[in-house]
Amino acid sequence: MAYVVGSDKDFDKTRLAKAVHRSAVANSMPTGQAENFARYVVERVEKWIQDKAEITASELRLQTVATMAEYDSDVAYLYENENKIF
Amino acid sequence: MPADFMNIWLPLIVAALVQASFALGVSMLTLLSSHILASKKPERLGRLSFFYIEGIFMAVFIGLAALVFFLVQLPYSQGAHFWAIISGAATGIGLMVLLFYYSFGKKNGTRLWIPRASAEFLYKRTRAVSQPFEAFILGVASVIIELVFIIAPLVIAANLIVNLAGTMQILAIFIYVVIAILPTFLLYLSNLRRNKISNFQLWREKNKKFLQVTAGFLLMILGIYLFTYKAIGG
Repeated sequence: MAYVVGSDKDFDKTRLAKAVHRSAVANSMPTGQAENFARYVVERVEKWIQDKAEITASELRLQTVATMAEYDSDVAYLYENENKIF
Repeated sequence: MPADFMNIWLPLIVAALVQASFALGVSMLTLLSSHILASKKPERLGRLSFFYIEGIFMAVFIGLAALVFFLVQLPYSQGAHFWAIISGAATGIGLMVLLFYYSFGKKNGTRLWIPRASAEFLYKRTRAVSQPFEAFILGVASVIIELVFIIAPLVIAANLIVNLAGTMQILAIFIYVVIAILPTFLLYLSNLRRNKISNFQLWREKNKKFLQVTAGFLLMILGIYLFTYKAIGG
């Protein structure tokens, strides 16, 4: 399991899935579609992490945003900017 | 064109437009809406957002009415010196808006002038809202926090409204508040129709320089206009 520098924890796929799902639903995506979307993103991010022992929180966020953007760029934008609204 | 229009209504509407272009109220509603939609009870969106807007409406309405009441009592509130002070302050605050209102940089989204620690606190409070009363207080807070900028158009509007007769004063206050909260109300309607929040946020980010320059220059022009019309001309 990759260690996430900056969050002082191991990579937690459930936590990531919840965050992605939240952003998708917040952007008016239907719940079922949001669940599939979150599952797809987490699978892709897990594949990317497989061969890494350590990643930074910022790298994880960037990779998540890039993966989300392949499927839905609007949700990716909201996820990326949720802490930059004001 | 009637003298009242150039003397009172035009600067009043411009002052309301300046307040409408300030973004904290809209930003907090964006965050509040996304938080509610992502929660287990998204059906609360309409109710909580409505109370939030009501908080803004009441804060601006009562604040403006109180200022009008205060200025009616104040001798020389229509004097050239007082108008010179107000217009000078408006021009200065307009310059502050131009320089400091948004934090620039591609990575900053629509971040505002608010210190990061205070913004983090506001994020936490906004995400913690679950009751209508909390949403109402959040709306009031969004007005109080921006008072450092809002105070200029508010005082200008109040000192213009003082010149109107009784019932017209109430109408003018109402018109000011409606214009000032219009962008927040439009976002509320858009969210009720379940339009994507990201579209609105992306539009704001793309146009933040335009909004900042518009608000700053409008306030500066309003200050200069009032100085010419009321301080020198009056």
